[in-house]
Amino acid sequence: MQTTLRALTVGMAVCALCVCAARHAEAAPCASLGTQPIVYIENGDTQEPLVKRLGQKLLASASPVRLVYKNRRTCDLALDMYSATPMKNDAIAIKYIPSATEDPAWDPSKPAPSCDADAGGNAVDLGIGATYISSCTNLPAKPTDLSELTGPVQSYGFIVPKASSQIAITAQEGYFAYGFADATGMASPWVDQALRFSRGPTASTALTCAAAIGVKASQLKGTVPAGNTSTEVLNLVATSPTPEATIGLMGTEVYDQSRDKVKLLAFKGFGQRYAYFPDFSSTSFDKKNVRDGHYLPWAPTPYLARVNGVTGMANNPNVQRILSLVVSAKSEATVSGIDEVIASGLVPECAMGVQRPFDGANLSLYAPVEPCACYFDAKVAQGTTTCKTCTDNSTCGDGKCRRGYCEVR
Amino acid sequence: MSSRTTLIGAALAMLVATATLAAACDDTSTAVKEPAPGTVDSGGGPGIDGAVPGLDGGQVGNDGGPGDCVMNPKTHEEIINGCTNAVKITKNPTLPLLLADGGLPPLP
Repeated sequence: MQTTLRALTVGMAVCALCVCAARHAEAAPCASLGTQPIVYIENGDTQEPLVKRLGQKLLASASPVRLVYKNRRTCDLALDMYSATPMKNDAIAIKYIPSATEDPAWDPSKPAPSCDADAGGNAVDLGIGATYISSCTNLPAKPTDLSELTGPVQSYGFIVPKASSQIAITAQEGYFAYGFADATGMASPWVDQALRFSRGPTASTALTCAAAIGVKASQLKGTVPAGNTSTEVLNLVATSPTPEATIGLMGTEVYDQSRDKVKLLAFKGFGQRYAYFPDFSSTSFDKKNVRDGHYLPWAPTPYLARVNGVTGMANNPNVQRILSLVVSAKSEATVSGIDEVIASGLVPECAMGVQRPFDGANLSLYAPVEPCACYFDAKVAQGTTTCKTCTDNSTCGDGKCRRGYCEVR
Repeated sequence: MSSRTTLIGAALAMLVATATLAAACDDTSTAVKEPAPGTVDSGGGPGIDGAVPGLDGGQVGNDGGPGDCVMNPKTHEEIINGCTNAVKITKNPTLPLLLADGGLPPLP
């Protein structure tokens, strides 16, 4: 019996090795994928939808650029950028955006294929975090040639299984559920630490959610899945056999793509009278409450790139192109940065009405220089707007015609 | 007979549409209430977006009223409690470890 068990174990181990080897053997060197210039990106896994969407458009554009990326936790990727650590082959797959010729059936909803870094690794051209870099406690002094630009806003939240009866969580409940071990916080029904799923303390999801409930990410008393990924948290919550006690932390644009699997709780912050969803309702996608300050767990996405000290432009022109599209919400003939941002579930800065200086900080009103609130309302999934359409300023009164709508400025 | 049935049907449809519109335009209709503290606190009842007032026997509250939200908010406290027509959910759970003054105890 023991011999059989041992044989079985050895057999399984061999099989696993074979699978790993086969998988590795399939991965081509990233550098030899094609003739297009490559931009190597490390990004929070919540930013993967945007990287995939934008990557597909950039590769199909008149000046094609290939995005090769690795999902990394925000503070880890920031450390890589601060210390100029190259992207290497390790447990986290390096992925690339395939062209229509390479995989005609691929679209951003599908997993991206993998490739291998060069033997010595590849320099990371762009880091895309998903919360305030100031929340990271693992960083040395910022190199003078490294620029941090504020990208679109990312919201986060607490997800529960579809079968849970819960629809809202207060900051105090979060504090007692995630701040205390096991059941000692007495925040019913979330009293089983094994079923309170979290992320590691360098992940933006953990940092921003923790800030919203008044704890540090390092103080979260939850269960971090083996791979410390959003996908694992999503699957563990979705398939929990004990739905009422199960809860997890999640970026809302990941949630937006998985609304059939889990539900997001409305959130009531400290000092708030009601709980709100990030969107107008649980079924809309407009991020209304993020944009006007009723929904609190959110942060902007920082873009880290090496820049010219004189011009302030990214050293790599293809990185500068991405920054213009995403951070400055510009458009090219076939690539609209703002459209891809909106379609990815993020909120461009120009559609925000509030701001904050760091994770968990108080909000203040914000008036974008070139607002796009009307455009955002019209373009977001299921969106509508009451704003007037226009072709020039003449019909906009005191407002200004931008992207076909009369915006307030 | 057939036209009378059609007329009645149309009238009923208009009535339902009017009621739905009225509910949609009423700010208070989007409030979802939870059971009062001390009763079962499930995080609210069904129909959160269906705006069914009182469905879960929640508190008859002042939600949506003029004194319940802040017009033209400026500060953080005002912004997070600003008037809105978005769906809002009343939740006041019983948390045994809360301090007497409603404050939070230090983390262990």
